Amino acid sequence: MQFKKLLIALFMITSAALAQVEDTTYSLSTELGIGYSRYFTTMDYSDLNKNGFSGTVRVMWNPEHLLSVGLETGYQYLYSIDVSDFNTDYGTTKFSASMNAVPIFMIFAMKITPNIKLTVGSGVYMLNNSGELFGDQLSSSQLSIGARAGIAYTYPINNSISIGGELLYSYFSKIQDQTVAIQFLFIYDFLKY
Amino acid sequence: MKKLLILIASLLLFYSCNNEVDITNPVVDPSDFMSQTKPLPESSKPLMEGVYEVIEGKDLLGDQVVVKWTRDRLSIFSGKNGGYILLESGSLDSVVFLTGYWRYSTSTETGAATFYIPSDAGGGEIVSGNTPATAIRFIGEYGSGTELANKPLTLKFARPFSDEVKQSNFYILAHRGGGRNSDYLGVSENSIEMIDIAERFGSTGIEIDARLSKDGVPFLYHDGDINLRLTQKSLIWGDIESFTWAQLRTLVTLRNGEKIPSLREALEFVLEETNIRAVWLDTKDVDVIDSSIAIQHEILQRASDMGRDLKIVIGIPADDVFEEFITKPNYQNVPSLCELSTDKVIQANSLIWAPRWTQGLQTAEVQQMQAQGRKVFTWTLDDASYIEEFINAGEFDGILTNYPTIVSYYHYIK
Repeated sequence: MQFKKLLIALFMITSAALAQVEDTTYSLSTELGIGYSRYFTTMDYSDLNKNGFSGTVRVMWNPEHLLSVGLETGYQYLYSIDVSDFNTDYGTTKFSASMNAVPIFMIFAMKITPNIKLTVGSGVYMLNNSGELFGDQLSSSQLSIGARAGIAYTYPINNSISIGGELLYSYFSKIQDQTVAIQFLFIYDFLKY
Repeated sequence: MKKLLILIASLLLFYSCNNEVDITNPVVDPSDFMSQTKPLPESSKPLMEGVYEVIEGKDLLGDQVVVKWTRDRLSIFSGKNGGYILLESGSLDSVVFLTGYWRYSTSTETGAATFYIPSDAGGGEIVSGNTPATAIRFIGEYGSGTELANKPLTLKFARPFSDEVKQSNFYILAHRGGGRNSDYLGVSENSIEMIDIAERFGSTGIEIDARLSKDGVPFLYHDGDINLRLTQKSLIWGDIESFTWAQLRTLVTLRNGEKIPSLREALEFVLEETNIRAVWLDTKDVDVIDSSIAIQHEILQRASDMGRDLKIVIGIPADDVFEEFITKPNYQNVPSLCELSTDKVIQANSLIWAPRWTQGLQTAEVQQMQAQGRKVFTWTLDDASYIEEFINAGEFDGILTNYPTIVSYYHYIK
C-alpha cells in the first residue's frame, strides 16, 4: 500500500515538474508610473497644498504563478506651504515648507483577472523636509517605515508592453499620514525566459 | 489569495498602531463648592501629614496610605497600583473640605474623590492650627471615570512619619520632568506644565533632558528627532537639533499642546515657582554642555541669593559626555552627576554618583561615595517591589523614577 502511494506521489511530482518545464514563462518587467497624488492629514493649515506629483519605478519578477514580487522606488509629493506673511511670536515672516518621500519597498502583485492586479508593499520611506523660516533654511531627512496598496488595470499592447492605470494608497508610519495617488502605468517585459 | 488578504490585513493592523492614550478627566467639584471655603493656614498643613489607616475604600487604596502636603495640593499615596489622590483644600467654619481626583499611576483608571474632616474628628484643631486631640478622620467618597463620587472612602490617622523619615534628606526624582504619569495626565514630558505639577506626585527633584538647537539655544527634549510620541503633527520633521530655536518654537508643539521650553525657561520656573530641590540635567548631546554649564551657574547663583536649597547638576551619562566634560575649564567645580564608574565620579569630582538600579544595592560602593561627601541616586526604578527593596535595604540618597507616587509611598511609610 505504501509503495503504491510512493509511486503515485513520484508520478505527480514528475508530471508537475515536466509540465512546468514545458509551460513556464518567467519574466522580468519594469513598471513606470506617473500621476497625481493627494495628501491626507489631520494638520490644519489653510495654506497647505496637498496636491502634487507621484511617480513609481518598479522592477518585478513574474514567475508562472499569479503572484509577482519586486522592488519599488520613486517620488511621492506630500505637501508644501508658502506664506509670505506668517505670523509668529517673533513677528511676521516669510515661511515655506515642503515634504516629499522616496520609497524603497518590496512589492507583491497578484493578478485577480488577466487585466486587473492588486499590489501591496512595505519598506522604508526617506522623508525629505525643506523650506525657510526667519531667513534660515529648513532641511532634514529621516527614514519612516511605510506601506502601500494599490489596484491596477493593465492592457497589453503587444507581447512585451502593457499600459494601464493604478490607484495607489500609501501610509507613512512616522507621520501617521496617508496619500492616495492615481497613476498612468507603462509596463515593459524586458526579459523572458 | 487568502494568504494575500491575511498579509494585507496584518500590515494594516501593524501600521494602524498608534501611541494615543484615552485620558479620562474626572468631574471634580461640579457645584464649585470649594470657592466658598477659606484657605487653610500654612501652619495647619503639617498637622494633617502622616500614615493613615484605610477604614473604607480598601479596594481602591489598600490597607494604608500616606498623607503629605506637596506645595499646593494635599497628596495621598497608596501602595496599590501606584494609586494616589490629589486634593484641593479649604475650610468652612471648623470643618476641612478636600476635593480632587484619584488615579492609578500604572493605568488610566481614575475618578473623583472628595473628603471632609468634621470638627470633632480633627477638623476644628486643624483649622485653628492646633494639634488634634483625637485621631484625624477623612470621611469621603470616590467615583470611577466621570461619575460623581459615590462610594465610601474613610481614612483614619494611624501615626506620624517616623523620625527617620522626618530627618532624611531623601530625593524623589521624577523622570523627564514628571515621569510616566505624563502619559495619563494630558501633560507632556519635559514641559513647564509637567514641572509645575511634578511635586504633587511627591517629587522633590526632576530629571530633564537638554539638547542644543542649530543656533545654540539649549532646550528640553528627550528624543533625537521630531516624532509623534513627543509632539503633535507639524510641518517639519527630522533631527530636532537641525532646526533653529525660533523654528522649533514656532512650528513644533509638544504632544499635549505645550511649547518646547528652553533650558533657561525651565530652570527659572523651577527656581521661582516650585520647591523642587534637585534638577538632574541629562546631557543628550555633548554640544549642549557649555550652554548648560553657563545657565546652571547663573541659576545656582540666583538660588543662592534667594537662600533657596536647590541643586542643579550636569548629567554625565556616557563616556563621550565625560570626555567632553573634563575638557571644560574648572570642571571639577561644576556640579555634576556621573552615571559611570566611581573612578570617573572621583575624576570629575561629581556631587552625585548615579548607578543604574540593575547593578543592585552596591552598599559598599554607595557608602564609599557617601564617605567622600557625595550623594548616590539610582535610576530609573519603576517596579514597586524593587522600589520597596531599594528604599528599605538600600542606602541611596535618591531614586529616579517614572512613578514618584510609588517611591513616595514606600519612603514615607518607613
